[in-house]
Amino acid sequence: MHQEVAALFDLQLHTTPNTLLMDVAGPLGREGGEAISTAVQAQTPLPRHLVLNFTRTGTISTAGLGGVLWAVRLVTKAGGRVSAFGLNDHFRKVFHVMGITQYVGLYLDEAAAMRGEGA
Amino acid sequence: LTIQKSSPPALPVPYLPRPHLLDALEGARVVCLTAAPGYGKTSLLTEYAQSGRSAWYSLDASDRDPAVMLAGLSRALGGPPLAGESPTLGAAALCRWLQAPSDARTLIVDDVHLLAGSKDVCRLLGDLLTQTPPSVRFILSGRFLPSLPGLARLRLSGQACDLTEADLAFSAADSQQMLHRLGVGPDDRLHQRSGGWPAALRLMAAAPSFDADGPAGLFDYLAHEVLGALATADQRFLLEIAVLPVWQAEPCDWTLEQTGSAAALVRILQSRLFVTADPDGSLRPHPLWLEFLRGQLQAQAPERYRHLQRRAALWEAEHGDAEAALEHALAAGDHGLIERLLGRTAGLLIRAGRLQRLEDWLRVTPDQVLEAVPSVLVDAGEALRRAGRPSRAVRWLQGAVVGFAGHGPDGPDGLLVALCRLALALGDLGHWSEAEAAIRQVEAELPGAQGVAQAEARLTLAEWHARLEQPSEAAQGFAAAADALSRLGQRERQGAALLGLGALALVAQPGRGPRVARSGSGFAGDCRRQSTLP
Repeated sequence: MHQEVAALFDLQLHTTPNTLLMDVAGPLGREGGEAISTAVQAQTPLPRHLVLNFTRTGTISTAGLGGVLWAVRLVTKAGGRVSAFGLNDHFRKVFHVMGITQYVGLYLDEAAAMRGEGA
Repeated sequence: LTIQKSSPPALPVPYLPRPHLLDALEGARVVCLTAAPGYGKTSLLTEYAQSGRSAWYSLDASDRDPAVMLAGLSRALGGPPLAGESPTLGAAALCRWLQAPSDARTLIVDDVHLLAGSKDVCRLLGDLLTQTPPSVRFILSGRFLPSLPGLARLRLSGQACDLTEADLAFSAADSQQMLHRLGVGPDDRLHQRSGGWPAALRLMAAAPSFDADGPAGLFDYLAHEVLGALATADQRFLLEIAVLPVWQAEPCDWTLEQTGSAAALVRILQSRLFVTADPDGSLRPHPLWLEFLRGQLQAQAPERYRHLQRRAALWEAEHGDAEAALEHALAAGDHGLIERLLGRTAGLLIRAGRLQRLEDWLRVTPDQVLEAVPSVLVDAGEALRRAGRPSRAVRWLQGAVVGFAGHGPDGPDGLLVALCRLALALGDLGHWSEAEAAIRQVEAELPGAQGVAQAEARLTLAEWHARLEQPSEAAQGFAAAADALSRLGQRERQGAALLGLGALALVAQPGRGPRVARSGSGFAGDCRRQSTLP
């Protein structure tokens, strides 16, 4: 599945049983955040495990983070869990500052994130 | 039965002797001992009866017949048999017998409140008080005294005195002694919670674990011995007004959607049902009594309980007590109402500097309500940061982030403002690496930000520059932020920007600084004052 949201933003979804992997590419702003939250909301049922790949994301705005966090809350409130990998050092700190790490496990690579262990 | 009515009951085991109260029972020819159930009236009288010469008579419902009461009193005193006599002749015969010279006698009459409403019996007892010789003493005991003719005059002349709950209540030392006798270690909490109410202390101490079981034994006692003995209408009224912490006729009527609360409250006061009267006439129930009544209503009629709490919240909100309204709304579990009241209450508490109280409210507010009011959390966080409590600030600011994430079109701007405040709070905490990351993020987003979010970003960056001792950048930022916030009508935040500017000037140019600082400070104060106006 492929979804074009903005010229430079790109979102690809890969679904496996119980897991939704989102490859996020390009600058993640307000529209990108909305695309992520809309895509998660459209899943029936909601994934038990949402994995966000930020390897190809250079910048994230707070507005973009709002969309991500909205999606995260949807999944966690339904009893699922969320993992993310590929964040650079700056955004790892921003996630921590904003308290997002209370809901999202941060991992160094996809394999660890998919396992969702030892965040 | 006759023997039981003419003899004091056994003392409870263990019992704490009250020598100073025994002396007080000798304080006048007529002693009126009135207190709510469980204050130890009968036990005290039993101790008194065991220590000297006195006659005992326990009233019951049959004594509402004057002939029955008169015959019983005479029998207790060892007087003439009066069975079959008319009350008038019997009273005259008893008075004649008591006029005869003899040793001093004391007649203890227990449960006098049972005579309430029986005018003939009350008149008869009043006659005995006023027409017997001074060598005959009376101790009248009950939850309350009905109106007895002649008693007021005896009080005025100093021949009658009163002992009440205030006299019977355990002091802290009494409570510890009783706990010792019960085999329980010293526990100030039990004394505090009982408020000196002896039965409450005893029953709470008897629970296997105070924390786990609470006052369950006490509540059983209240359910069976006190509430269960009342008329159904009075039971219902008490259960329902218990949603209010203080009882006044008008709010009771409004909350319960009825009339007649004034008369019912007078009955409660007269019945000594664990209430004290404030100088303004309102009744203040004992906290444990209130807790019991609320628990009963919640268990018996949960929907009605929430409805009444909601009504009470609306009453308090209408009458300007936002905190009381919020407390009722929380008890009602009405999320919409809590949300509306929380913003109002938070603003008032922040302006009054009552941040601990604000945090108390936030802690008991359901998460889903907090998520609906992220702006309140941002304001709370900023107030705590400025009050020197940055770690508390971070908690609520991060809560605001979650709220803004689901806050529609306003969310993104709110998130940037929350990030600004988080950056400064983390700086205050000395978490430099994270604070710098947040500041870099704010800098990156400043060009695309608009409105309040942009002005807040400028203000945050100015504060950061000031901390880094970069006065030129800081001054520029404060001035730009003050200008933008002024245009946006954000007067309090504009005051904060001007204060920053003034502080900078104070450091950089000592001659000019105080004037600018005063100007900024005065302006901020004006804004705060204006914002409290209706």
